[in-house]
Amino acid sequence: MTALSRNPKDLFAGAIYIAVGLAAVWFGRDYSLGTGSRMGPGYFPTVLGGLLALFGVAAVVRSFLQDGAPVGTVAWKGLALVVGATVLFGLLLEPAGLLPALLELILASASASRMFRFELRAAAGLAALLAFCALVFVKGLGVPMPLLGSWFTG
Amino acid sequence: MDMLANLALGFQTALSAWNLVYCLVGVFLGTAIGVLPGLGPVATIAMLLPITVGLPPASSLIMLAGIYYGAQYGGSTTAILVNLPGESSSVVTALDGYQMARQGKAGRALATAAIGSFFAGTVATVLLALFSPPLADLALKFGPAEYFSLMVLGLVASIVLAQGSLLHALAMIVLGLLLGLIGTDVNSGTARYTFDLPQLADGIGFVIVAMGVFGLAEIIGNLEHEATRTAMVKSVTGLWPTREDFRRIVAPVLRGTALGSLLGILPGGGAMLASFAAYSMEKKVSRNPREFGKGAIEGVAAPEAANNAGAQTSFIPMLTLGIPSNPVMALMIGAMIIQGIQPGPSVMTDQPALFWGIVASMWVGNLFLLVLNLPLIGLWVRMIAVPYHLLYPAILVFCAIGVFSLNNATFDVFLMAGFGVLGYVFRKLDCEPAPMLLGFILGPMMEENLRRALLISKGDPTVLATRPISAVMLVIAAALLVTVLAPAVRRKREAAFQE
Amino acid sequence: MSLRTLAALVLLLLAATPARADGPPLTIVVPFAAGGPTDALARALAAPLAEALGRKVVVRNVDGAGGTIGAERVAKAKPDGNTLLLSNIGHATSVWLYTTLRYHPVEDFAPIGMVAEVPMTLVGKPGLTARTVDEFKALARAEGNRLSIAHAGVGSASYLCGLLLMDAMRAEFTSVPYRGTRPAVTDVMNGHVDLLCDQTTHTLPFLKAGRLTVLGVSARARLPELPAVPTLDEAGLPGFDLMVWHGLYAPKGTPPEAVAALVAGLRQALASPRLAEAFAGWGARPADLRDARPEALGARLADEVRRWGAIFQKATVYVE
Repeated sequence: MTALSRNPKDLFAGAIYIAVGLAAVWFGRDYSLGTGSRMGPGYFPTVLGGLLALFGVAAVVRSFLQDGAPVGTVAWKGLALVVGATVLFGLLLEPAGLLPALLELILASASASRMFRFELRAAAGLAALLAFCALVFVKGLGVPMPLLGSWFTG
Repeated sequence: MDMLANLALGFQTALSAWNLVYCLVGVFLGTAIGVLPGLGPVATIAMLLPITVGLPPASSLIMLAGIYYGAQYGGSTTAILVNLPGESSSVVTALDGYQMARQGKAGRALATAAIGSFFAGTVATVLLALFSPPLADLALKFGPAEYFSLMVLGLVASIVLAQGSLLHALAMIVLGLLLGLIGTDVNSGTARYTFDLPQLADGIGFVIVAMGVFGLAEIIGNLEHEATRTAMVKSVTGLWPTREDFRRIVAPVLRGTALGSLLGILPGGGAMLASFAAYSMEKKVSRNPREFGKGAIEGVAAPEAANNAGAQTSFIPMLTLGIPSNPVMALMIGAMIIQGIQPGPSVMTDQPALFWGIVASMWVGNLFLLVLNLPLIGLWVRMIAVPYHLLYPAILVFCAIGVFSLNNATFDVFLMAGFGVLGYVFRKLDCEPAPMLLGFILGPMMEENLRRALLISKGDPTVLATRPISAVMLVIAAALLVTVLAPAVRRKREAAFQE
Repeated sequence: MSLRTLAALVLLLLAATPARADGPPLTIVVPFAAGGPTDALARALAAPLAEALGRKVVVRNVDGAGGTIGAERVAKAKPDGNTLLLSNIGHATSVWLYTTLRYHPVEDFAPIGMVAEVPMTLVGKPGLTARTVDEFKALARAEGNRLSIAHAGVGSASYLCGLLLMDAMRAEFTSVPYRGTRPAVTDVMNGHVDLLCDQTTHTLPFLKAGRLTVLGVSARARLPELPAVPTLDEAGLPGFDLMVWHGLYAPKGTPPEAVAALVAGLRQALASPRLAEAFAGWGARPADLRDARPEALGARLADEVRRWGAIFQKATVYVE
């Protein structure tokens, strides 16, 4: 399919628009539509969802008619590591506490970089960053995050 | 003249030793919060409210006000340096500001933002002093129909914002509108697209979307071409704007100030709308619109002036009528209430020292901010010179903690990660996030006001055209739309001719 | 080892020392927008309560859907005595109005005590042709649903007052919802909407400044703050009685010691002169000490749930 299309970016984008637009209409099917002059909660979502799907169709059609640059390199490793590190941070925050979760976030996301290796300067910076967050956010602003979570304190 | 007496009283209050201290503390804190992604003035002021009980009313309001407009300064700093808009009003600043930073012009961008903001703040303070009551009455003329038309105008303006394909800009706006609808519908109480998740019942927070789509996506994007990236970010060419820069920003700052001052008084996102509108206006009137999005200094000067002017004038309805223009003002009202002051039309006459003291302190605060921020530019610029592979994990940390601290919900962190993926996908597909964000913010307000307007008019849609202010805005929107579509249509016809 | 690294490690060690001495703050969730009447009461309560309990008290606004979003948040919160809900009459009515409510206002909460009662005022836009309740009745007969009445969301106090009003007058106006009372008051003030029935906390300053007209108050006796304004009961709607009562609730399952401590704190806070002064400025009456107890609040809540259930059966109003 992508080989046929002259503009893969438009094609993918269009596909996304169609998918989201139709999803909006589908998941919104239970909200009452009301009338034009007395709109219900389903009116806007349905209209917008349909509109988005239409844009999507236009984009897909256009992708077969006009040339466009290819998508280019995708940073798969970076994507996986940065997003994964963030999700893991969220999961670790309560059980492990802020400090281990931050440690994970920093190391996991940093490892996505080609230049990741152990440097004393970087380690010092890491420690300083951890200290800064603990001081400013937990002690200073009182955000309710345990520094060390239930895994450590039992 | 009465005005001079009032101003004298105001400065007397504002320049008292303690109030100067509180003002300084406020703006400093505000800047710090603006710089830290996630934590915003709303959360901070809410946290500090109990402390202000012990302070005299003028001092507490001076400090809280300082936090608010200080945060506008701080928010633009991170928007420029690392493409992370901390406030909704800094989103447009990130568009060109960050590009300028990548071209080694970070210092010039930051200075422009500070100077533009200071000028706008000064003008806005004068407006506050001279025209508060009439401006407040102007704000009152805005009913649901007018708001709806204003939002439509805002959305059309955001099309102008977009650089690439018109089709994608429109689609992104609609996508943003849909995302903004997630949550509970105010008119009927129906939960829309919440999939029974209570965390989605109030909708998705702006910060979460912004951090994901701007912050995370940017980091991932930069990981694509690491070797070449460090080469692309040129070394800093100088911290102070050149003479040419100054020449270029004069008109945008003036226009931004005017637009911001007007839109700020309107309840419902006036300051943020102002920055978007100012950017779009600059792009429209510029002789080289193609430069926008690639580091046009006007694209930093105008929105920054607009958002600061808007932040100041948003105090007008609050101080003169007790009507909050945004959540921060609502908290200020809360602060006044705690102090035993009834916010309302009589504050100006019953508590002149308070009123004029706040007005005067705003100018003082702006001065403090200018003095604070300019020397810091050197520090900021050195910070972003840190090798990127060491810097971005720190950025990620602040995003994650910032987002978590909004509602103490890890769900928000996951959501941000999801938006990071989405943002990266769009980045690869050349779909711009800025129109989506604008749609996201304006969508729910637009719908709410349209439904309300129709409810009041008994289902008669012509009310949008018969009410003068509403009609004017719709006409401008239509005209703007034509100017945007016409060249696109012409280009298509030319392309078709060439085939 | 460089100085920087050393400093960082020291800071890290300092930071890792176990938690702060004062423990987590007490969060009072206000299920309405900041700056609104309930929010004002919560904030006025927070300071003396903090003093009485010896801990930090934080007010959080979680608004939306007539107060049900905030209430649900507290119903599902950990019952450790650190999260409370300060809600008003809407807490009792939401169970009738929202068919898909994910909590029960009685079952899922442990009442602490009543906080205050606030009377309501029926106000109109500056250009309203009716000046008395009788004139208003005539206007209603003539205009019917061309008259619009604003409210702060289905289930809010202003919404309930509107319902009660329409029920008492056997009239039907167009209900216009807003997110919170401030926007609602604004639109009445600028003449976009005709009427609003809202707590004195909000309407007093605008009435005093002449920005709104007033038709009556919903209490059983005239208000000292508005001596010239008749009660709706005496002016033509006999039996009309609506005080917006506010109560403090903890999630079900909060340990009894925690509840007792909170009750004691509440009673002490209610006695504070600063609070009395603040409340008085808004026409709010701090709860009697007899009512600042779990049993009293529980009884009132159950009563009100019954009362409004009957009213809603008649009106058959519900939210999708």
